[in-house]
Amino acid sequence: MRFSLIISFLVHSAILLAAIVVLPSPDEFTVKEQTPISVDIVEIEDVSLRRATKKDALPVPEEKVASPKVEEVVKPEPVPVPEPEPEPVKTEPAPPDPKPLEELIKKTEPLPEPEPKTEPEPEPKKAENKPVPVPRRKPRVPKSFAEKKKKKHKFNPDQLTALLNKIDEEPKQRTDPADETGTPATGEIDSLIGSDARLSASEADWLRQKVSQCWNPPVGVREAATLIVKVRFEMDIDGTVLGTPRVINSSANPLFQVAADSAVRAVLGCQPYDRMPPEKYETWRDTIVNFDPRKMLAVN
Amino acid sequence: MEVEIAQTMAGQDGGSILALFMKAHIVVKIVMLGLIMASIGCWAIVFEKFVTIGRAKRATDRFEKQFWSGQSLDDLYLTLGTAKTQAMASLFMAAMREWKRSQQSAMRAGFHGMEKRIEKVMDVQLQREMSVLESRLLFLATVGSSSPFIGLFGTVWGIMSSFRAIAVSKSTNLAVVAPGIAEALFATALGLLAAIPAVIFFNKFASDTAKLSARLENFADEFSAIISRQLDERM
Repeated sequence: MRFSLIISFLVHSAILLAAIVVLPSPDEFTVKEQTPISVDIVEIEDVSLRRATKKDALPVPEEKVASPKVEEVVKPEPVPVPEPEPEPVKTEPAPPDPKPLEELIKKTEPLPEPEPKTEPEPEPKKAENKPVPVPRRKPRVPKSFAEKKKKKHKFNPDQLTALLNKIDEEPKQRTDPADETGTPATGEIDSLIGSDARLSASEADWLRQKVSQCWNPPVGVREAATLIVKVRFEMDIDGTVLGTPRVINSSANPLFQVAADSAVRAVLGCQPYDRMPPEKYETWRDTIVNFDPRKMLAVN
Repeated sequence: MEVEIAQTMAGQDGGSILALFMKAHIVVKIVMLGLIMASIGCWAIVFEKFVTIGRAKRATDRFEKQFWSGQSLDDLYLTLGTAKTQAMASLFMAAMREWKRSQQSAMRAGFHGMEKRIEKVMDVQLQREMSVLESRLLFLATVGSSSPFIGLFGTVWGIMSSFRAIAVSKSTNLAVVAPGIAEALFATALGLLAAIPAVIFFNKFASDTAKLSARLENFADEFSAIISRQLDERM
């Protein structure tokens, strides 16, 4: 036994020695020199071109100048002529599009010169076939912008996307001087009034989305237009709601109290809004959210 | 920053087996050493059994040839008497010794007791031979079944320590984790290294000894039959 033990020991030590001495240590992985990729951490608002503010809006100045004219010119038309029908139809379905407005603006220029009665027939064509004189007067940006708008509108006909991409409608909304009243023309559920120039659209969107998740709007009510609820509340820096949200408008609708309660519940139920950027706390500390049940009804 | 430190650390030690062992946690070291000892013991037993069982087999073959060659049993007893006997020969020698010893008493008390005594003696001798052949085989079985678990224990320990290394360095970099896992896996490798030959050779030797013991038992039965025939002829 001792003999075999010695043999075994010797063989083992020989093998171990061989493993240590003869077997080389594994080759180190030769990693290629990697060119460092510099990564900047960017605020989303630096990237996002969309702002939830009332500034910007490229075609705004022109439209503002033009819009009164349009109304002036368009209004007389429906009265005398049998053809006015196409026109209101045309303007109404796409109120958010700046394009009809532009078309109308175009129209306004030629309109005074020829008689309005003969005009209406070629009008639709004119609007499309007459890009030649347009560029002279207008920068190209609004035009392409308008075309994009049109495409988008075709692409997303359903109301759901209209609800989700409310940003698209914002330029139009901004043109309205009577924003504060929340008239139907705004076509917006909830706008963040408390935010000013700093808050980017993505953050406002996020807040909007978060609140709407918790909102059970009153369904199937008549006169939903009178059930727009404006809720004003203050948030702590960690996104929790401070105090009780206040309903800052009122309505004669008997269901308004129900709608207001549901809106307040939504605001309270979805807190904390912890993804709001703390460095912009001042901009969203005091926030007003508009709850418009009509859009939700449209969705439902 | 952390990455570079970890890489230089890994570079210093290298990945050789000795470095792997030196770097290991003390528990893992003990496990590794224990497994190496077990492996040494196993192989020692394997060598020893290889020799003893082979020798027993050869001696049995040789004796069987002599026994069935027609030589008289007394002559065989005399020729074998001087040498140290193995296996079957030792059975024969034990039986013959008992035979010679009971010659006197058999005259008085009859042959019946003598027959029984010879059988008993051969039985005892057979047990003795088999116990020599089978000794330490159980160690092989134990190592074969338990050393994977011991190696696994070392592995678990090493992986635990490598997770602790993650916790301490707060980095999941591979250079932080890899040494611990490598040493851990080394423990399992040693466990398997000890266990696999142990199991293989245990099975081999177990079947060898079983065959040999069957042969010896057959011989004992045959020899006792021969003796009882002879005694009956004498009467």
